[in-house]
Amino acid sequence: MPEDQALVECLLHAQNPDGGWPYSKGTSWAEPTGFGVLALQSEQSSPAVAARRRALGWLQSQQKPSGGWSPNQNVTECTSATSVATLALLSAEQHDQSLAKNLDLALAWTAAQVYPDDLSLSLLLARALHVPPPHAPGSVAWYPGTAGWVTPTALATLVFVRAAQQKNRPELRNLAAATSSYLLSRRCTDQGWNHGGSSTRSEDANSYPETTGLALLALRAALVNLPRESVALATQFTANPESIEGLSWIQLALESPGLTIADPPRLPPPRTTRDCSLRLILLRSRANRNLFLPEG
Amino acid sequence: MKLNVHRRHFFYGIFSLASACSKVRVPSGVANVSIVKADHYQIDLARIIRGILIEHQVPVAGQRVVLKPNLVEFSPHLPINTNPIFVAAAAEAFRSMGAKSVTIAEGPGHRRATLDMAESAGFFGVMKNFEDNFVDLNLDDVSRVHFAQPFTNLDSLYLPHTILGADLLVSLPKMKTHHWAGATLSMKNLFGIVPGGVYGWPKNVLHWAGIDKSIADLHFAFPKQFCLVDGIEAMEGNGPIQGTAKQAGVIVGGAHPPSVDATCCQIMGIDPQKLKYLELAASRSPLQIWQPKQIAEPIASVAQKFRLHPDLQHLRLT
Repeated sequence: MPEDQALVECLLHAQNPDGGWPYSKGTSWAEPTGFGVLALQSEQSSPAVAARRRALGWLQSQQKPSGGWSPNQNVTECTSATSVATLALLSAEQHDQSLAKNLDLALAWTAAQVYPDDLSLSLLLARALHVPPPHAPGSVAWYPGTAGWVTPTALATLVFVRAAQQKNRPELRNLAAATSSYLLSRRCTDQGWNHGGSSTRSEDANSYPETTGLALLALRAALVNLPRESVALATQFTANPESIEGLSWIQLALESPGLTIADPPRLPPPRTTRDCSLRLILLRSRANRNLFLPEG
Repeated sequence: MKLNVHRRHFFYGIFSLASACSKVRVPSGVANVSIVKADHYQIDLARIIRGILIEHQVPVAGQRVVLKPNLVEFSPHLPINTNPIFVAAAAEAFRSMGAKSVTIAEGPGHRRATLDMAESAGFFGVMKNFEDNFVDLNLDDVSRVHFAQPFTNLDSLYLPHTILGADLLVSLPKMKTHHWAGATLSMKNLFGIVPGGVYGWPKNVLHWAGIDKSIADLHFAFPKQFCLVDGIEAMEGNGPIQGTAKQAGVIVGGAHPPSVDATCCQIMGIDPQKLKYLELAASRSPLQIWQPKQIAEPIASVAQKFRLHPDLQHLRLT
C-alpha cells in the first residue's frame, strides 16, 4: 500500500466513535483531532470525508464558551491545543461558513494568550537584570498563566497568519509580528530552537529538530527572512531528524514547489495519530499546497 | 477502571490530609535504605534488585506495578536516561516475584517523541516487545487529583490513569546532579508523571508553582512507592542534561523516597539538609529522613564527591 494511503487508513482506523482522535488509544484529544482534520483536508474518499466531518463536529462540540479548547474532555482549562483546533476550523471554514462564529471566538481566545509588551514591574526588572522575563512579550504559554514557549508560540503564529489572510483581519498580522520576534529571540547558540528554556545554567543547550522545523515554518508563514544558519542547521537535522514529527516540520518549513527535502535513509516511524497526520500533511503539501503558508 | 480511579482520588486526598496533620508530630522512626555496589550493567542486576525487594519485604505478588524510569533526551552516549538494562532488570525482578502486571511508563519533560527517545536510548534492543509494555504518560488519559494540604498553590493536578491505577509505583531515576534542585533522584523523577498533553513541554506549571514545593507535593500524593536509583553510571556537574558521566557503581533502594534521596545525596557529597524539597518532605514525614538505617554497604564505602555546578557549591556536604 502506498505510504499516503496507509496513513489515511491509520487515521480512519484510530478515530474514536465520538469523532475525535486519541494520541494512540483512549479518549479523544483536541490536538490530534485538529491535526486529523488538517491531514484529511484534501482526501476525496467517502470514509475520509465522513471522518473529517465527524471530527469537525467533535471539535465544535468541545469548544468552550470562552472560545478555547481544553486538551481533553477530562480537563477543564483551555490550553494551547486551541491553536491546532483553530487551524482545523480555518481549513474547514472555506467550505462551511457556519463555522464563522466558532472561529471568531477561537481567534479572540488565541489572541488573548499572547503576552503583551507592557510596562509591568517584572518585565522591567528582568530587563534590568538581563534575565528572561517570566512572561516574555510575544510569547504564548502551553498552559495559561505560565511562561511562554517556542511550540505554542509558533502554532499561534500559524493561526494568526492564516486567519489574517482568510478572514481579512490585518490586526492579526501585528500579533504574528510580535510572536515572530519572540521566536527569533529564543534561538539557541547553534541557531536552532529547543523548547525555549532560559539559557541560565543551560548556555550550550542544543536545539531540537522538531522545534527548529516548527519555528522556521512559523517564521516563513509570517514572511520573516529565515536566518541562513538556522536553515542550514535544519537541513543538517534531516539526516537524523530523531522523529517523524521533527522531519515533517522541517520539510514543511523548507520545501517549496520544485524543492523537496529528501527523507533520510531510515524514515522514523509514526508513533501516534498526530505523527500520522503530520506526515500526511507533508505528503499532501507536495501535491497540493502547504496549508500552513499564506496563499499567493 | 473509572470507579477505581475515583476511589484512589479519595484515598489520595485522605492521605494528603493525614500527611499534613502529621506535620506536628515528631518523627519517631527511620526508614531502611539499601546501598548495593554494582560496578557495571553486565552483572545480574535482576538478582540484586530481587534481593533488595525481599530485604524490604515489598508485597509484589498480584500487584499492578508501574516502573517509572527517567527518560529525558536523545543521547545514547551520556548518562541522562535511566539505563535500559537497569529498567529491564527491575521488570524481570518484579515479574519473577509474581507481579500481576509490570508496565513501564514515562512522560519526558522537553521532547514529545517519547518512543523515539526510548528507541534511541536502547530500550527497544534490551526489552522484547517494549512498546507493548510502555505507556507515554504525556498522552495517557487523565483525571484531576486534589491535594488537601499542598506546599504549592496548586490545589490539584491532572494525572495519568496508568499511574493512578497502579498498586505500586516504582521510581527508577538516574542518579544525577541538577542545576536548579541540587540533585534529581527518586522524588524529582515524579515530574515525569505530570502529563505534557495537558501542561505542555516543559511542564512549566510545576516550575511556576516552585520546583521544590512541586516535588514535595507529588511525593505526598503517592503513598505506595518503592525507589531503585540507578547510580551505576551517574551524572555530575551541570546535570540533569549537560553534565558528565560519573562512575558511582551503586544501586540505592527503599520504600521511603525522601530517605532514599537523602542517602543518595550523601553518596554524592551533597548535604541533603540543604535541598529544599527534602527539607519540605522532612517537615511532614513521620520518619526521620536524614540518617536512615542503611542495609548492605555503608555510605562511606561508596561515597564520591560529585562535581557541582559553580552556583551550587553551597550544597556541598562538609
